[in-house]
Amino acid sequence: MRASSFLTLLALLGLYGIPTAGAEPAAAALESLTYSGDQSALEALDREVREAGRNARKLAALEDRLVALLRQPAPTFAARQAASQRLALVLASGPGGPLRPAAARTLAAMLTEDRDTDLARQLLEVVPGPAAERLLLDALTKTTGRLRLGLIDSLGRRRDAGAVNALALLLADADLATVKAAATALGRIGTAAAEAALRGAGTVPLAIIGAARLEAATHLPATEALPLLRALEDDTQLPVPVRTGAFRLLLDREPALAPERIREALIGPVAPRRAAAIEALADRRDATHLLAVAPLLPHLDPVTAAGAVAALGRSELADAVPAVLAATGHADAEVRTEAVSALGSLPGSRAVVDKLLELAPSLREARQSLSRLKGAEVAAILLEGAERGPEPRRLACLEQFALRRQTEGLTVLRQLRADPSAAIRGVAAAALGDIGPLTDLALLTDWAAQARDEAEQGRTLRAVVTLLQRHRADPGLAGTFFARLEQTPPDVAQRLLPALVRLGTPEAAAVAGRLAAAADATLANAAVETLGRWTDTNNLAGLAAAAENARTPEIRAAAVAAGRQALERDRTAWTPGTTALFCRFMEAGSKEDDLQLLRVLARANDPTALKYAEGLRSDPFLGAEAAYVTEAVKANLAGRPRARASEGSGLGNLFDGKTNTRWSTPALGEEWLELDFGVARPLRELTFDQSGRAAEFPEQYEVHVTNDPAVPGPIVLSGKGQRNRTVLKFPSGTRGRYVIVRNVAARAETPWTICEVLVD
Amino acid sequence: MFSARSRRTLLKSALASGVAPLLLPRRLFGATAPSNRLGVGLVGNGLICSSHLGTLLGLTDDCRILATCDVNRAKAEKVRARIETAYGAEAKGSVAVYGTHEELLAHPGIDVVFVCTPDHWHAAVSAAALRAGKDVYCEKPLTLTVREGRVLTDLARRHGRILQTGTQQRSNKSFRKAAEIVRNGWIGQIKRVRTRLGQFPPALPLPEEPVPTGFDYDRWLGPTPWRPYNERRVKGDYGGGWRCFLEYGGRKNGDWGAHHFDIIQNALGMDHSGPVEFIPKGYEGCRFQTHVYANGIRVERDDNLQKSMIEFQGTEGTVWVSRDDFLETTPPALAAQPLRGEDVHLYASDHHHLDFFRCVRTRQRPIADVEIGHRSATVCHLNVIAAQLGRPVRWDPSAEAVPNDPAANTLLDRPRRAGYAL
Repeated sequence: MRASSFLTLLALLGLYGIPTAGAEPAAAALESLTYSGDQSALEALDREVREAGRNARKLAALEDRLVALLRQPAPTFAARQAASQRLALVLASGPGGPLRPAAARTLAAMLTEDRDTDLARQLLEVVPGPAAERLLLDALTKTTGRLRLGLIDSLGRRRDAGAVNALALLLADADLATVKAAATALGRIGTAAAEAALRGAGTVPLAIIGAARLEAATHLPATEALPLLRALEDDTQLPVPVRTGAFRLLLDREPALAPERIREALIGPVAPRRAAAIEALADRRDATHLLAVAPLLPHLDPVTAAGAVAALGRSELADAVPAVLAATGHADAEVRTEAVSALGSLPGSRAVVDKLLELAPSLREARQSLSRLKGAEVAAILLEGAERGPEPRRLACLEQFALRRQTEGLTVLRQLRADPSAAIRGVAAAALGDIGPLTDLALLTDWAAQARDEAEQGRTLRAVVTLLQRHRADPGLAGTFFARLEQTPPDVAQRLLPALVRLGTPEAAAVAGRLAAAADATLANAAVETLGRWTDTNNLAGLAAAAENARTPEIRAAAVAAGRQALERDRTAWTPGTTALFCRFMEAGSKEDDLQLLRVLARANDPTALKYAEGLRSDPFLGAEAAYVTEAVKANLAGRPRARASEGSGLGNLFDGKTNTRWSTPALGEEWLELDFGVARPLRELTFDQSGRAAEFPEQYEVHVTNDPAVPGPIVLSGKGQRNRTVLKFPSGTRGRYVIVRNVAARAETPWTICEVLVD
Repeated sequence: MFSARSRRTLLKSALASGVAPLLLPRRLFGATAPSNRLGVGLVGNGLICSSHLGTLLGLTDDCRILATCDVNRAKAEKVRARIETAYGAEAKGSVAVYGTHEELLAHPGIDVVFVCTPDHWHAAVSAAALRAGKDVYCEKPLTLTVREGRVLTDLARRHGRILQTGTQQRSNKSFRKAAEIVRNGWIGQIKRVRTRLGQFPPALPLPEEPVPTGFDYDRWLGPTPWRPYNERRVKGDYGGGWRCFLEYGGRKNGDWGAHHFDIIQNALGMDHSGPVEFIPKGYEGCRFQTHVYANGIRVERDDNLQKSMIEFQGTEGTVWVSRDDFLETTPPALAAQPLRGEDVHLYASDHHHLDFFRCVRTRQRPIADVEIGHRSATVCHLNVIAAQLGRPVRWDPSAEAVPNDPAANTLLDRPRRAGYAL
């Protein structure tokens, strides 16, 4: 079988719920098919159906076989179900002629049997033509209860006009479910006769009849639908949703009257009608309707007004602007805010820009609206506003240069470096960082170096970083900045240092590492502090260089401490490169530094790390720790730990080095997790990282450490898990190959999840 | 993810900073009570409901959960307990528990219904809620069949109701940015889109087990064909369970496809249309499940895609986007490049639930409106249908029909068991 055929077969089987089995094909007949047993007979049938395609002769042969199966009493229900489903496909794929007599007789008998009625009915739903309808109608008169409900539904789905009389009779049935089904079906059929039957059903609950007549109205021609809809709308005894539905349909069917209807609804007393009118405005986006609403705004209740304003905004019509502008002065705060938001979607004009600029300093929504405002004159107004006028307005305009990527303003931004206002200068610099070309780097760097106002300096430094990050594809650009940094006087370099952390690259860290060896102690200290603030391990090489080249013991110690902290924080995979850096810190550090550093080496898994630890075993000060580390590294070298659990999915995610994958199991109070390290090893801590699933810690854990999972031994640790990370701190001297963790308390709302297991 | 704060907290902090926040309209049409929160009913109390609960229980100024419903009584009781615990001692006994959605819809004070059932119940519950005058938040995919989506769209419009599809990726800024980059032509003409959906385990034969006490299995099955009960069939498990079976969902096409095809539709400006051809994997050497738009853009499902969940390939660049705010582009600067005023700005929502609540109050179309959800789900369903038939299926998105193909057209809907009409 070709791969494509096999895949199709699988998919086809999947649709009809009979799954493929991994067992070898057997000689089991289709007639004895079960849901859990050998599926080979069904697979063979599906092959035949697919291969038949649209071949009339093959389809006819299949039809005969399947009908013959359905005619017999012996086949299992699974077989009958599968056969009827395939028969539906066969009939649908065929030439589409009338139902053949054998099939009709078989299906007729099935329709009135509780076991088979659904199978036959669902098959007949896809068979066009009057024969199928006759069968369904005939069965209708012979059945009651659930069987009859299904037949009624099928007649409704087929929209069989010939069923109207039979269904009308059922409107008087004693069973309410039958009455409802019949009414619904008549509504779907939607002929004049069906609607008349519904109209005349005096004993049926109004809610049922109303809904059905509403459905019928969607199918009737206008001459009959319109009076019906008006009657439904005005009938105060009908449920509100039916009357509202009639109102909405009338808007569609009588568009000329829609504006007036909407207006009346908006100012009327019926809240659901007002809501429907607002929604209709959104549906239509019709200028006539929308603009008819605009003069009403001041007279509407606040809730309706807010909705109307939102609809006007989404219309994007210029003629809606005056009304929405006026609404920004509405007495109600929510209407005002909705109007401000709406302005952003309407065509921009001076009046709109002026209003939004007025509100921008205090209203975030005004700034958002400005940022997306379209209009030929908007950019020019903002340019003009940036250069002169009250400071709040100028600041708002400058902010928009960045938000709107208004590169026409670059010249103005550069010139504003000389503005007397520090606030203006700061915002201008920030905007230049957001939209300026890479050639502005030198200007921004000078700007940051010379800024005396603290806020301005902060913003210009951020602007430098932003510009560098935007143009990071340019390989030489950052180098230009770094060269400048290393050549400037120490006080200037110190002011520019924070940019290095924000850049965060290894090259930036290298620069900081070199500056940590500066003759100027203040700069050197500041450089080490800067390296210590790095958020990842890109700083390690720089810190190692700082430690090695430090001119004073204090700076050396600070660099080693920062390096140790970075190594402790970092839980990414340990590499030989990490070991190499570690060794550099050890060489530069004091004995006290080394003792703390050595603990981190227990995470290593490379031979160099093992050899290094072994080499320290004879050191009187470090020997004991080195012995621990040696055992730990040997265990790490044995390979990634394996895990088993009582339940849950994702065991492979526990040690994959990623925190966006997880193992998770319902917290029922009886689940366990077993970690196998491959060899007996010492243990200080295990951390269960729950990243992003803070509350999915073990509700109450008990931990065993053993060399034989069949004999867990005593509990060595117990406690309640913690949010974000659950840290298991083992007693001194704990060692073993297996760690078994049990959650012994149930928790209904959240599972027990571990994204990553960290071993120390 | 937006960190939902109560309205009071938002106002307090904003006033302290001197900047007024966006005041979302809070009052309801016709409501007069001082605390005009939306009354919420939850239908389906499984895994995804738990996620919604976490959000809704934090939006105490916007909504109050009044009732919950599940065919498994024990699950519904657990959800009730969680809600009442969250609301405090005075809320004990305030949340009603039902076994059917019809009963829940009759509960007084329900304004909106969250539909969190398996896919095969989405349409029926949503339709009943719309007819009852409620607004609906329905989990993705919106439907199990193409026809169900058109029924829901027509019902929502007819009754003037608001329906938000649970495709919350639309309310994520990275996915929105990716779509805006594509829509504004910043990577040139799009030639190909690739997306990774992943795989479910196969749907295995399952032996019959006794139905647990308190679990209405017949109702759980609802309109789908009868099958013997097995716990693995009904389990709500993101890695398998009912999601493996095409009777109840579209497997990965319906699961992750509902999210990613939706983003692709948005990016390509196809929210009210759709592709015109669906080609199953393996057909005449076709390496990937593919659907094609009228303008020639091909969308390929490549489950070995490494870098991102969705990749847009243009003549002048590429966009990669995934959850957890992963967005990369070539050229790199595009990812952070602001839109100009005259650029196409897509509907901006940063919180799917709050967008829904806001639209319930203002009666505007939400970001994942019913028609949008229907069109995106249609893409999922037609891919499944093409795979079932083992051949390409052409599609007319205007007529919403498969031209000249009765077999494919019969698969646009599914038969329903007696007693479970739509």
